[in-house]
Amino acid sequence: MLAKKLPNATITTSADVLPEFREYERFSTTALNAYVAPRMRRYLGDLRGRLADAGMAAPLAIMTSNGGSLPARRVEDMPVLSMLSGPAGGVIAASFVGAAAKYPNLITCDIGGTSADVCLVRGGEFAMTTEGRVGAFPIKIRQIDINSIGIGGGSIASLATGGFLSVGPRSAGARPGPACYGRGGTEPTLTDANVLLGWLGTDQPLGGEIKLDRAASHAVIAKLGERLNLTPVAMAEGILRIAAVSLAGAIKEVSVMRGIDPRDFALFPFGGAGPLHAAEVAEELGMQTVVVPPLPGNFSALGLLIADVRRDFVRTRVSQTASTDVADVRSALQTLVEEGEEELSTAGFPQERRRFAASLDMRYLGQSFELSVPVSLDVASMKDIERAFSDVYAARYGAPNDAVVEIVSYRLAAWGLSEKPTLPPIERAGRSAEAAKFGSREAIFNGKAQQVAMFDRDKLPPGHKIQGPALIEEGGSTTVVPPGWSVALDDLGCLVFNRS
Amino acid sequence: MSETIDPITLEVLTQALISAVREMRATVCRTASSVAIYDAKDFSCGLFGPDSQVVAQSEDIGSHVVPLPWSVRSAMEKLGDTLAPGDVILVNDPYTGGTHLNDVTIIYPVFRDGKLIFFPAVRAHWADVGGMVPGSMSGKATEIYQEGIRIPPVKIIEGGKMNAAALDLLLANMRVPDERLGDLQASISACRVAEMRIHEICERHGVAKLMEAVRLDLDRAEARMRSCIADLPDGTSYYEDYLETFIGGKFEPLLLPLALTIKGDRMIADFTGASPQVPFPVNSTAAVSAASVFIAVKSIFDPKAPLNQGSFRPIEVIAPPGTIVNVQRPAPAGSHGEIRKRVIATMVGALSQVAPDRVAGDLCRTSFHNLLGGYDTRTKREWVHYEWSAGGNGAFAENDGPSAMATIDWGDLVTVQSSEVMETRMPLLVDSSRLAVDSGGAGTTRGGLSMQRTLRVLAPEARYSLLSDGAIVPAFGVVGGLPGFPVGSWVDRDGVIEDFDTPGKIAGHFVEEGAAVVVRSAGGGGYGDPLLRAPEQVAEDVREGYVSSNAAGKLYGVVLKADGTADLAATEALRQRLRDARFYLTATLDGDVFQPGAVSKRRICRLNPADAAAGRFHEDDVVEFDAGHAAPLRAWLRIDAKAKRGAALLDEHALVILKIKAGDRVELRRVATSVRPKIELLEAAE
Repeated sequence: MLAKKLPNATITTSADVLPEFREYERFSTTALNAYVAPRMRRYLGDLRGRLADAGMAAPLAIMTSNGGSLPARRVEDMPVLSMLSGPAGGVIAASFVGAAAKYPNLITCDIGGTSADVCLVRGGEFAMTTEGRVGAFPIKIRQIDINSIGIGGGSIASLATGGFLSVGPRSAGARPGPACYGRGGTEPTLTDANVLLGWLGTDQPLGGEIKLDRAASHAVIAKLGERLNLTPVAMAEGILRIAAVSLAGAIKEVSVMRGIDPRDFALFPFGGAGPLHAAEVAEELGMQTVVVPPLPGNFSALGLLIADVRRDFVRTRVSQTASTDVADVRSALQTLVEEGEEELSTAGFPQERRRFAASLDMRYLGQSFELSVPVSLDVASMKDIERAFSDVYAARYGAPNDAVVEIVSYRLAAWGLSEKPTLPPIERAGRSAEAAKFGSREAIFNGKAQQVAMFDRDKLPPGHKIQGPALIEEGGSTTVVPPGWSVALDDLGCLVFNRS
Repeated sequence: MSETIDPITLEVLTQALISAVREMRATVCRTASSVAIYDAKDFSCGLFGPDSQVVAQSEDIGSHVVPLPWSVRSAMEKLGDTLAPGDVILVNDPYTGGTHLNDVTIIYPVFRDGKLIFFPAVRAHWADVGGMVPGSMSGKATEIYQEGIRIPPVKIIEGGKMNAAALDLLLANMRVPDERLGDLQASISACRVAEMRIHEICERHGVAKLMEAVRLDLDRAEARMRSCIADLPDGTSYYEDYLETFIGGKFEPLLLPLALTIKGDRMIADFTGASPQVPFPVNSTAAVSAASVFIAVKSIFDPKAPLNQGSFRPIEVIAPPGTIVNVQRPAPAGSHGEIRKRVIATMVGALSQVAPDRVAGDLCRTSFHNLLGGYDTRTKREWVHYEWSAGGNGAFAENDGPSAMATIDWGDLVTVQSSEVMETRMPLLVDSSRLAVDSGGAGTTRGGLSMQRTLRVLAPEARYSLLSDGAIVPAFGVVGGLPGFPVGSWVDRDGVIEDFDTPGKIAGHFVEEGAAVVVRSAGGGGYGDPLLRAPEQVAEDVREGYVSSNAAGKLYGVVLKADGTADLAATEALRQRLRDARFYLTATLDGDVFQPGAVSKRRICRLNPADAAAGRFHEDDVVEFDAGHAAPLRAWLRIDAKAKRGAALLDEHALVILKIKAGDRVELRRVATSVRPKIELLEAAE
């Protein structure tokens, strides 16, 4: 009715966006959707038009925050589904490549210019949450559980009154950027520390355009070091160390603090700066394995290509398990399945490429937050549901008790499975240890300057073991292998670190 | 121990300790049994040195952690000589450093090479510790024995063995003992995690280096705070505020005076003259009072640096025993949160005289404990809804105060409960949840708005109770800002309003089905003269519904055009008229400014009858003197023929508080009137 009266208005209803209880989160999510919808519609409409004009026949899909993708038209109405999708691509790609390379348990660490995103992937599945935020506003849609921290290449090292040294979250960004960019940056950044120590080379312009100025890095770091009575080298190493401790802290939050030991996982670094710091972070956490995927600088893009279409459906209906009929649970889930079928058939997925997984949000009576409990669509009895809840509760909080249990919401994840590329073994032709080694440069490890061998990643033969210290270069990224670690390329082209 | 340490390792070790505390938090959340602990996060963790100083904490509740050192100290005094590896201390005694009995603390000594090096500690709100009512806290308690079981520092584990006798005795005196045992084990597990991390750090860096890092951390926090204090001018400033009680049905404000002295880089907060303790649960312990001083100073001067005891070394707190700020046996202390807010208010008032650009208007006065519940004969179920809607915070120089938000002493507690969650659990219909129009104190920047909620009863009957301060004396503004709305609550029966004779203190008031209880938290104080607020900002406030058009004219002097924008010429004229209409007196030195009550005394404003008539003041109005330099001074109006015409009778302290001299002009304005027309409530109810 409203749409008829106001043909030009964008109409968003909370019943469409988030049919779930808790009015504040629902309103906030809906309002954010309404806020970005007109802009997204204009932008995506325009993009679709221009792609069509350019003769692109493939349908346009947009990455969503839950690690799936949706047809662009769907996202135009429901842009809130894609609002936190930025770091999702990398996590999807990591779980895909990790599984192929036989590392199903990994912790991703995507370090960019201003921030780093970490996420726990277990058995190839990434952790999910509904507790996201944009600025101060909650977004309560299913999204990948990514922990962000203000540490990146542009993070500024500074000293506050009383002598408190910090690295980040303040960032020099791209402009003025680190001092070594020569764009007027006057404060030392993480990148400057890498340049001073020779971890980051200055022969190749960064991204093909920015010539790095080592003298400039040296000057700003020396100045900060003077105030702490530290040599420039000690200062630079200190900046890297503090950054590594902060990154390790972010990883502890998604592992140790949830009762999970990170030492059972491989560290999976990517993003421009990920492979520079990976070994230090792994050491801080006692992790034994680091896996650097191919093309770490552009790794997230791979996620976009392989993401399945995914839509999450939810309905709130509060009841106690003791007085709920299992047939009602099945029929509530079936209603969601019908919605899923419709969504997927619109998106053009045939039956055999649709997949559904149901879960219930449950809690003990009196609690105000729920746990997500996976159940099968044809669950046979309420006993099974209660048992599943006890198991999830025990895993998260320890011993369950015998209080009254409530079902609060019904959830369904619906996937339209995309066709995945298989990762072929890398071509061996043209690769050899001799061809890969292309020189050396001075780099500093543990306070000692030494000539460190440089390798071209694209020419390394699989299985050839390189002892640290070594620097492995490729377009857009440098992998640092410190002393005490060795590294070899596996058959899929991942650089796998091990402690030597 | 002259271990040297480089600045990088210092940061690494500092982070490692904070990270250990965060891991303690995560462990408590994962394993506790009380809903208040794992859902509302009503607990705190910290690491303490053997000298009882807090050395590391994380996102913990200030009102828990900051008083913890007192508990650690009293435990050390009692048990320090006999402590051995494998001992764990349990304590909740308010009189020796606790808060209230529900906050139960585990103190866990960690030894390295036979030497005591740290105490990880957890203070958590247990859902019940026995006492006269389920949940232990009752507004009717007159002695601590009614508030639950009091645990002096005891070794609950000795040499690795659980003290079964003590544990049995405790659990036998608490409701739902299984849950309590779970809470205890959660706290112990959290401390064990910290112990493990401390040993890991020692193995990697050496114990000497770690202890040196702790020493440096404390020293540099102290240096930061000293430099903040040293920037302030030397001298003594004063302020006074009141806690609200009714004794024999009669209103009795309890005086809390503060003399705050700055001497170089030291600060002394002296509460000498505070009201004697009272047989109601509003008293607080010396630890809580001192902690509140620290919370105020840290929040105002150095909110950024990590919290440790070093920040508090330059501050001394004097709280005379037997008063409301240093309760002694057997007076109750269940609702100590009210004093906490009052201590912070007096600190804000005093500091507004020396650092007016750093302070904010007063915050919302109270923890606002509302209880609505009863027995539902239809569902045959007992139900209780506990409502603690957050109030408005004070405005500050740079911006308006945040609305309906947790105050600085509350940490990250949930403050607005979901209406839909309430409705699914209670026989209640939430008619509305909103910010209360005009509730934020007017000012150049506006105080935060309070929250107003209408709860309609759907059960055959219910009882409503309220234990709250700030229902009569509202949050004050600073440097000319006006007060926020006081706490309000009333019953609405289709527009017929039932008001209460004892605002803020209501016990088991009958509410029948279909009637609605309306609760409104307090608003925050304003900052600066409201006549200086940009007219466009006021127009925007009216459009957004924060300020009524009536208040825009009366308080801000802003005239709005038909399109809702400000009429600048008319506004300027109205502002001039409002300025001219302000009621001024001449400050006159006089010693007779306090009037005794049943237990305490209050400041009075003796006013000549002709002045009272001219300014339309009534006997017993709550008024404030204000010269626009700092926080205003509150008093109760007494019409007195002997008072000199045109004189504001003020003592020496009052002149300091107002930053004026005898002979200066001072404004007098009404804050609350004893003659409260019902129509005001109707307006509030809208």
